[in-house]
Amino acid sequence: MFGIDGSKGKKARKSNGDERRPPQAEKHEKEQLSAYEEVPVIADLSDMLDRIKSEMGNSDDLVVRQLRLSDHGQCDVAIVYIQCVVDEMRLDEFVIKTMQEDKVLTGQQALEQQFSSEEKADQMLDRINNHLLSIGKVTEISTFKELFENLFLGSALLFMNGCGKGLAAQVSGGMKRGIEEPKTELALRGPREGLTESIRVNSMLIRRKIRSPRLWLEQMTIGEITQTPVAIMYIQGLVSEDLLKDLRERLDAIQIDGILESNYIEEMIGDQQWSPFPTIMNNERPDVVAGYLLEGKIAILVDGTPFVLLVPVVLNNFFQAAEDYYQSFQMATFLRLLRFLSFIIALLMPSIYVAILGFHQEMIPTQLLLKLAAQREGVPFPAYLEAFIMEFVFEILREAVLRMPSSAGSAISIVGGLVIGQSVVEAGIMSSAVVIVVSFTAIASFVAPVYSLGIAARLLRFFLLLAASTLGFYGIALVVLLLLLHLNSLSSFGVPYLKPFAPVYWKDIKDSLFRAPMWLMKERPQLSTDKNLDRQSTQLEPRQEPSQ
Amino acid sequence: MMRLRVLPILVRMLLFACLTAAVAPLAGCWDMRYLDKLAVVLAVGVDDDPTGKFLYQVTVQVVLPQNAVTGEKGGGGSPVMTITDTGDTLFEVFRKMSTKTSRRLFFSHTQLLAIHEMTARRGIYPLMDLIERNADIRTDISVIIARGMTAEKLLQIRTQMESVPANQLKEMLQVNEEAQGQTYSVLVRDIARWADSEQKQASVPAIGAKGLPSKGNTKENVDRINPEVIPELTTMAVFKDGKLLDFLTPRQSRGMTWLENKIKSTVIKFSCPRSKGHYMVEVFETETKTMAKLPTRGEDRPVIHIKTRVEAGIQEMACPDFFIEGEESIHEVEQALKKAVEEELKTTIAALQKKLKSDALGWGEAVYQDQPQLWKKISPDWSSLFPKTAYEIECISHIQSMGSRTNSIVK
Repeated sequence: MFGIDGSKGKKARKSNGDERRPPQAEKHEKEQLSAYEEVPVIADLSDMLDRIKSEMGNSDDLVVRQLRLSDHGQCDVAIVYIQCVVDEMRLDEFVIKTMQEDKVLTGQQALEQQFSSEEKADQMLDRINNHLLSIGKVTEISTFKELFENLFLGSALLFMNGCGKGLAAQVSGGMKRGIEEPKTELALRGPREGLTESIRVNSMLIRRKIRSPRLWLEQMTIGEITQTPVAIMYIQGLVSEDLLKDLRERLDAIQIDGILESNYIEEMIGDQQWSPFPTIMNNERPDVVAGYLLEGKIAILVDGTPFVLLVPVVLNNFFQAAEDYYQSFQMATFLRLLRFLSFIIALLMPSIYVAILGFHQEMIPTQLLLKLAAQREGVPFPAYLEAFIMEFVFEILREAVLRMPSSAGSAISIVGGLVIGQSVVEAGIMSSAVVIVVSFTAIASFVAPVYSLGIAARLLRFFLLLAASTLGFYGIALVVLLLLLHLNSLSSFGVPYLKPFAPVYWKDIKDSLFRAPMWLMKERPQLSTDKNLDRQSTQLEPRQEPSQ
Repeated sequence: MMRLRVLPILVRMLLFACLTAAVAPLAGCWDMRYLDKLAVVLAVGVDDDPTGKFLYQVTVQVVLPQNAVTGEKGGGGSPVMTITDTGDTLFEVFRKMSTKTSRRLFFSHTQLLAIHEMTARRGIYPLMDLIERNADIRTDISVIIARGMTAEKLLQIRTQMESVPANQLKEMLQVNEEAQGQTYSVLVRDIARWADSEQKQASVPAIGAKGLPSKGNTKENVDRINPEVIPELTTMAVFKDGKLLDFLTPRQSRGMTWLENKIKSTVIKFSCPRSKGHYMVEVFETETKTMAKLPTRGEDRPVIHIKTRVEAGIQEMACPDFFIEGEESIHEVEQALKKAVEEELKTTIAALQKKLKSDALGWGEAVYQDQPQLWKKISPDWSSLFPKTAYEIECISHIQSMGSRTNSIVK
């Protein structure tokens, strides 16, 4: 039903005008599909089938079915497909059966006109195309390039002896993961469906949110070998043309053998590739994607991954969770602030701890100092080493739990949490304060709704820890200053990364540090769109008096 | 799209490295010290050197965290220890003490400076300079006078309520200031400021001990329900030019707090107007302003105007025939309160003007602020002018409540 269509909207990739990566003409090797561009379909059926088989190295999942429909041998047909990529039920029912039962093809009834044998073959193919195939989408193929494209996207190919072309019947099927709850950005209230690996299902899910003819989709294939379908979706009229042009250029410039996940594209089209901060959003919730599309952003869908990319984004976007808009604005505001605070904690807490213990003992209340001093009593490591070790241990634990089979996960958490956390303190090797600090930091780092920002905090934490353990608060201040400078220098597709804070854009503050009530958010953020900012035309405000 | 021309990445990294290297040594006073290599000094005591060889004998009270903090394993020993040494200056002694310590003395959390009264009579200003000058030592250290015992002995009294004796002394000052106002805390930076401006003489609360001082430094003292010895706050000590003159009486001491506008809450006892017994009035809000007015009739001395507003309530009533329901009675109490406060202030001022001749009230400051021209003229002679300076007291008193009942059950 949601078959993949590789040929529509296909972009010519000859005119790569990007100065960053000049096209390399000599790279047209045998592995790349473009090598087949000029190879036509062979008219003779047995030669044709031999050629296909040899090109594919006689792969066993390639099914070649030859049908001798009429006894006189004037209508030899072959069907070629890859096992399980097509829906074999539909193939049997709507392709093979209808052909076998057709009186003209089987020679029981003659054609109205007399043709030469070549013309006849064409005529027969037309008949199959127009009268017999009860399949929604059938395309003619004339080169090997088209042949292979359709073959791997789930078409059954039909060739007729003596005919210089073939038909590709879209009967794609095979196993697909169902629509499940997203694994990354859970929400208590809100839609439960998540995107899947199939690009068609994903575009369907997004279209089901935005039922508008203005929601446009452009598809292309990227990856010389993998031929991965990649689509960009946007709402025409909301999106800025410059942005679209820029994005198309960047996508066209990609020349890579394969795209297995959207991060391949994220890293290749991102603005500042050396920065730990993500300048492209990824998300696997269709409602979030739809929300961003309504703000004039562009979604990049990649087949094979549920994670859709969104451009342009600013730092602020990474603190917005889907649920912010599904619950009261007071709560959402509170959670926003909490998230900002948690990010700061996740970034700074261990380094502040180290700086205070190593340099600025006068900064904390005496009672707290004595508590910390009592815990430090007899600990063999200096505070900074302690923090480094515990942070490192935590990262190991985290990675172990993530990659373990889930049945072993609980064992890891018991060993990690209880054995290491508790006994390390009891044995006097680490102070309990550092365990508290590290655990709290860890929990705070999980608050980030988008994982990729959490990763930035995770890496920078060590950098800050290093600064704190050599220079104290001065070091922290330096690194934070550097970070601010860096953040200020970032941009995502021409949008300053710290907008609306720097440069200040007051109207957009309504959805940054806090979330204004819906009836106050009358305009779209100016971040990514510069036209058609009106979101609400009416002056809807809460009723002052209860209506009778 | 327009792109800014950017430098090659290598050049940028090199630039970045240079700038980072340039910025790192800018850390002026960075000094890493491990928390577990520090001996946190909570109180410093200064006495005269008993041998007479040096000027001072200094005692520091160092907290032992493993003993002082409850809930940590180990411990059981004394929560603090003291180290005593002698020398001519504080800094000299502090560094000398490193011959007796395994950790470096750490003064950033010091809360208390106790000075023996005999030492204080010789002058306290020399002791303030290090604390003011050194960046590591806070200037909000409370200063107290050890009265009737050496500062060393005072810092060696084990206390029960707070396991760290320095905390007990410091908290005592706070609690008394809030509940009774017999004394108020004075910080090192206050004294330094007064000494600088020469518009005010110092006054410092004094702490003595009740009981047998010799028993203070024993474990029994904290094991008993009624300790053998307990530190006790006495009254304010008045200084002149940094030298201790004398201690005030408790009544004068509170009057001093009142004039300093530091009373937060206090109680005043009254005799029943028409019978035996007493009743108590709780002052829960009061404000005192000291203003200087220009001299009248061409005199050279300013007139000090003291304005006090007292908000109070009746809290304890043991008078059989005093019915306080009526407005009349409230008015009577208000008048009595007004009179009592005025009396108390007058006694205090009299003691300072006539007996001690020390402007610990900061009238000089009031003149400087209100009549700067006059102050310029009279400041050289202020210490001789102060005892003769005229003043007037204006007191407004209000009784706001009578507690939860009206007439007393005492019949």
